[in-house]
This record gives sequence, structure tokens and C-alpha cells, in this order.
Amino acid sequence: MSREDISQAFEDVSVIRGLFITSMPDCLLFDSWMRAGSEWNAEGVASYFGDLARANKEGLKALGSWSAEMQVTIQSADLLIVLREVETDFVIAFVFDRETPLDVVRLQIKRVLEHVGSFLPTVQAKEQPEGVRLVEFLQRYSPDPHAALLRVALQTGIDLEILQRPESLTPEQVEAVKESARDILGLQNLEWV
Amino acid sequence: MHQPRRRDVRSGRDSLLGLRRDHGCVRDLMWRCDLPDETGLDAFVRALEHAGFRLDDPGPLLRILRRPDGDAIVIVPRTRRVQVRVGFAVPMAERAHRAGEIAAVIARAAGEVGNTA
Amino acid sequence: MTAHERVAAQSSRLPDHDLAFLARVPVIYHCHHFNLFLDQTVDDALGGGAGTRLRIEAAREAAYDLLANLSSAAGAVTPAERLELARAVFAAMGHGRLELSADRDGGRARGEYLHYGFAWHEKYGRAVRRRRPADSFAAGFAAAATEVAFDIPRESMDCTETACVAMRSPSCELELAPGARAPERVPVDRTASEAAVRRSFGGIGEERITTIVRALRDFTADVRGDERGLIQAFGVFMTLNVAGYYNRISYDTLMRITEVAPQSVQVLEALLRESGHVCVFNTFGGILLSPEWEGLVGPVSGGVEEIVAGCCAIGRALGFGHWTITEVEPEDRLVLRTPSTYESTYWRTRYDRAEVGRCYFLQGAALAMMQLAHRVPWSDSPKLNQEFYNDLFRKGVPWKVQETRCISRGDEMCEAVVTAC
Repeated sequence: MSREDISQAFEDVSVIRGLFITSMPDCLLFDSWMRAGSEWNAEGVASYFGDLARANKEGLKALGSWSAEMQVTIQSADLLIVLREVETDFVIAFVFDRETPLDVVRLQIKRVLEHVGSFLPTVQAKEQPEGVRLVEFLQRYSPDPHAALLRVALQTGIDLEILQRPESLTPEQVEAVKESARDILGLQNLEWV
Repeated sequence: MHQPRRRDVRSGRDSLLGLRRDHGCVRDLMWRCDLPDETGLDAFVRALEHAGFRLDDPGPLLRILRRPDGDAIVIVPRTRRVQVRVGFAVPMAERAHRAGEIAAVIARAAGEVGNTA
Repeated sequence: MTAHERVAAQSSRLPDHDLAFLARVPVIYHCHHFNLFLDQTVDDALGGGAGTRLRIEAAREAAYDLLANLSSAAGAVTPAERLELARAVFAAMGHGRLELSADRDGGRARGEYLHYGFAWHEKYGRAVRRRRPADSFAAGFAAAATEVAFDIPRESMDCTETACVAMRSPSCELELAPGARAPERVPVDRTASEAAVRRSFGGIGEERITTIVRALRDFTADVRGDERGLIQAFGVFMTLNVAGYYNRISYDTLMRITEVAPQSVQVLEALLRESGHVCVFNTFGGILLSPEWEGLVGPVSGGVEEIVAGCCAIGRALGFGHWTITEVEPEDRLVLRTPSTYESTYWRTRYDRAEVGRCYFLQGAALAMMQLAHRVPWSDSPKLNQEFYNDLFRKGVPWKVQETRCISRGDEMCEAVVTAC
């Protein structure tokens, strides 16, 4: 089943609203499909759900309950969203209408997953440096994203130009940035970023 | 009398007098609606007073009417802009509905005065 | 006479300079965007503990003079009268409800709808978790109110916020206890302001701006805290606050960073400017889009000169100084001048001559005015919300601002120049 076949399959299933494939661990959009008329920001959806899947995995590990068959199901007022990890390289977000029967949801997910390997590449995930991941995470979730790096620079004393090239941060600087990010986001822990 | 209706962005249904969130709408507190062109303002204000609103500001440039529960209606005579202000004590989940209720009061008041412009 | 009327009777302005005073103490209107971002910048610079300490001390110093003068003017003699006056003033100025139960040995205060904590929770509470209490201004005010009520030496009562709604507590709780007396500083009052301002002048569109200012002043005279003690208007939460609070926390922080981390001064200045930028963009934009503006001035058509003139009028009406337009070239350049700012009058009174411009709010304001004039689709019923604001930066800001002249430096005016990058 080719990518075009999958798109065609969705067109015929009215309950599916969209599909977002996130490349991990960087949480970048790999590919997406949305029903015509949708105004979703595919990049944003992919990155946020990538973060969610990753945080979920770490949380389950902390509970000693993690498995490779992990699935996250989210229900909102009008949507049903299912996140599934594919190998360790991708997270797929399936977006259904809220009222979709669960057996239909399971069937559609099964159909896609059975054939998704035919067009998803095998990725040798090159983990980004921790400093890069931290800065990207901060800029994604900081309440005033345009001021995030200025705030980190002021809190840590690290030059703004160095923060704008986070791959060059020393280990000590990374720890300082991590503490600053914890403060800005009000988080106790950022080890899973 | 024609009462303009627009699609309500939340419910998908038509909304009375084109009711929609106004700028500066903090948590569903400020809404905007359209007054029919033919509605005479002085009679309209009197009809709102009759419906339980008290004219708070008699100035010619701005009319503000309030009722004891905190709801208010602001009318700009020069442009006929109407802003609905839901009282802050109204629970968040009920504010859109309250705005609709106030819009209904406005529509009734406009309908009562008819073509008096 | 109601509390609001007593307070209003003590209002005054410096003619031709658009600086406002309450019981001879400089005051200005600022929105929650400015209030929260400035407080946050102080904490980022000094650390949470030292930042909180500075903000409480600054609030205590600023509030003491205000409450002492108001008590004298209102004939409030007994502790109960003075505490009641403090409670009423706090709410009338939009800071929330503060109930004090204190005596010479300290006590407690409980806050409801305290501006800083409440507004922080409204703006940020769904996105981030807060690690420290937010209401340092209320803590300092409570300390000052206790000192004035019981004739305790000024700036000798300590106050700590022990629970805060911004940290998801059900209410705000504060504790008061006697502490070490702070050294007195040179007062920055109306007399000092009169000495610091320069000879006034006009600019482009002066007649129209003056007309708008008159109408806005009549309107703002009736603005007061609601049943919650909050001023919710134009899509923001406003406060009438003592200018000395803002100036002291900004400049004390600047002095400290200059001393211990000079490499961070430019970053600090950028964030101080951003406080002004976020304030003017949101508050002035909200006023321009309001039915009040539409009624008093007329609907906004969106012309660059119209927006800039409107912003100057709003700045004057809110007590920021006698802003004038010297040059405006759409897309390219804006020059604002003023013979008075609430920032430079403070600096001139307390510090040696500056080497660079120190009016960070004015700098941020000028940049925001250019953004409002060019990047808002005024005729399309725009929503100037957080998403819109974030988008301005995502798309890049095509201008930069520099304060080329400043009364703090000994110049005859403050001048902010915005140019295309």
C-alpha cells in the first residue's frame, strides 16, 4: 500500500479527520494528511504530540510500566486522538471524530500501521545535543517565546549569541540552561527532554 | 423587522444580531453585536431601561447601561456599535449563553422601537 | 465623600508635562502585561529571593509616602481610619482587596483578587506553574499601611506572602513582622519632578492630540476598581500605581547587574524595553479598538499618522509624559520627543548624570507605536491577543529603537528614534 493508497483510503472514511507523522526524537513533522477545509497547523500538532508521546514514555518508565506497544488516547469535546509509536523513530497521531466507535478506530489504525512501513524510512536517529533540545523545548513552551532566550541569558549570564547556537554550549552551560528552563516553565524535572 | 443573523462561531448556529466576541474579550466577557440600521437610538435606550438596564452615562458620545447583576451594554451613537459586557461574576461556562441572553434583550428592545430612526 | 472621591480630590497634574500625582506622589497607569513582565525581569536578573525582596521594599517605600500624605489630607487620625483608607485606596487603584489585621507588632493580611497574582494566573496560569508568590507589591503596601496606621518608623515593617493564588492556593495570605529599618532615600515627589522636567514644547498634530487628551482625561477620571478592586478595561487589567515602585525596581536592578554582571546589562535593557513594548501594544491597542475611543474620538481607520497621534494622546492621558511627534515617515522612521518622562524625573533626582538614555519604557513604547501603526489590520476587527503578539516576533520586527537624547543625561528632552532595520 503506497502513501497515495493510504490517502485515498482516508478520503473514503469520513470519521478520520487527520493523520500526523512525527519524526522522533526531534518531534519534527515528517508527513501529514488532513481532511479538506482543515485549518490545523501540522507542524505544531506534530511537535506537541511528539513531546507528549515522549513524556508519556518516560512517565511509564518511571512507573516500571513501559512497553513498545504504548498507545495514548486523548478525548476532547469533538475529537478522539490516538498516538502510536512506530519503532522508535516515529509517532503517528490519528485524529477521529469524537463519536467514532472504538472498533472503527482500532480497525483504521490497524490498516495504516500494517502498511505504514512501506513508506516510512528507517532513520538512524542522531540525537540532538541536550542543549539544542532544551532550547527548542523552551522556545516551544515558554509563555513569551520571543523573550525566552533573553530571560535565559539574564538568569544564567550566558551570552545571548552562544544561546542562539546551543550546539556549542558546554556541559556546565547546559546545566545552567536546564535550571533556567525549569524556573521559566515551573517544572521540577526536565530530564526527559 | 429584519434582524441580521450570523453564524455563531461556537455552535455553528445563526446568532442573534451577529453576536460575536469583541476585541479585548478576556474569557468570554466582551461581545459585539449589530444594531438594525433603522433603530432609533433614544427610543432604543429607553426600551433597554424599561428592560431593567440603568443608563449610567448620559454623555452624547457614549451610552453605558448597566444592570445590578453586573452586565452592561455600551452603545457608540456615532457608529451604532454595541458592545455587550458580561458581568465578571458569571461563571466561565455560562458567559457565552449570558451574552446571548443580553443580545436577545437588545433584539427585543430594537424590535419594540421599530423604525424610529 | 466616598473613598474614591477623597482619593480623586488629591489628584493633580504638572501643567504642560502630563505627569500625574496623587497626594503629591507621582503615579501612572500601567497594565498587567507591563506589571508582570517587569517584575519577572527583576527576578530573572537578581534571582527569585533577591528580586522579591527588592520589589517588597520598593512597594513599601512608594506606598508609605502615598498613604502618609493621603491620611493627612483626609484627616485620618486613628489606626482604624488609616487602615480603612489604605484598604479603600488599594482597591480604588485597581490592586484588589486587601484586609489587614495588624498592630505595632505585626500581624496578617489577606488578599483577594490581588492584581499581580490574579492577573498572572489569568495570563500564564494555564501554561506554566509558578514557583514563587507574585504579590510583592501588595506585601510592601501592607507593610507601609501598618507603619502609617500605627506611626511606626517608615520602612521598618517586613511583610512576606505565604500563600498566593498564582501558585494555585485558594487565597493570598501575608504575614507582617517588625524588621530592620531601611535607609531613607531622596524623595521623588512633585517638587522633585518640577525641578527635573524641561521646558515644554509641541509637535506634529498638537491640536488634535490635545483635544483627544482632554476627552480621555475626563473619561479616566471616573475609572476605578470594581467590586473586586480590579480595573478591567480595554482587554487588560489596569492599575494606578506609584511611579517610584517601577523606577526603583528597574534602576536598582540595573545598578546591581552593572556591578556584578556587566555582560548582562544589554540583555536586561532589552527586557526592560520589552516591558514597555508589551504594555503599549496591548493597552494602547486595546484603547484604540474600544467603544470608548470610538465614541470619544471616532473609529480607527488605520493611517500611520492617526495611530501614532492617538498613541501620543493616550500616553499623555495615562501620565507617561508630554509625548510629541517630531517626525513620522511611514515604514521608515518615527521620532518621539518629550520634555518629561516619569523615568527621567526619577533618575535625575536620585542618580548622577547618565551616559546613555535611561527611559526604557519610552523606548519600548516608541517601538510598539510603530508596530501598531503598521502591522495591525485595523479595518478587519483584529484581535490583539497573545497569539497575534507572538506572531509579530515570529515574523521578525523590522524596526529598532534608540534613545538618542535623555533628560537623565542632562539633555533638554528625551528623544526616542525608531528606524527600519
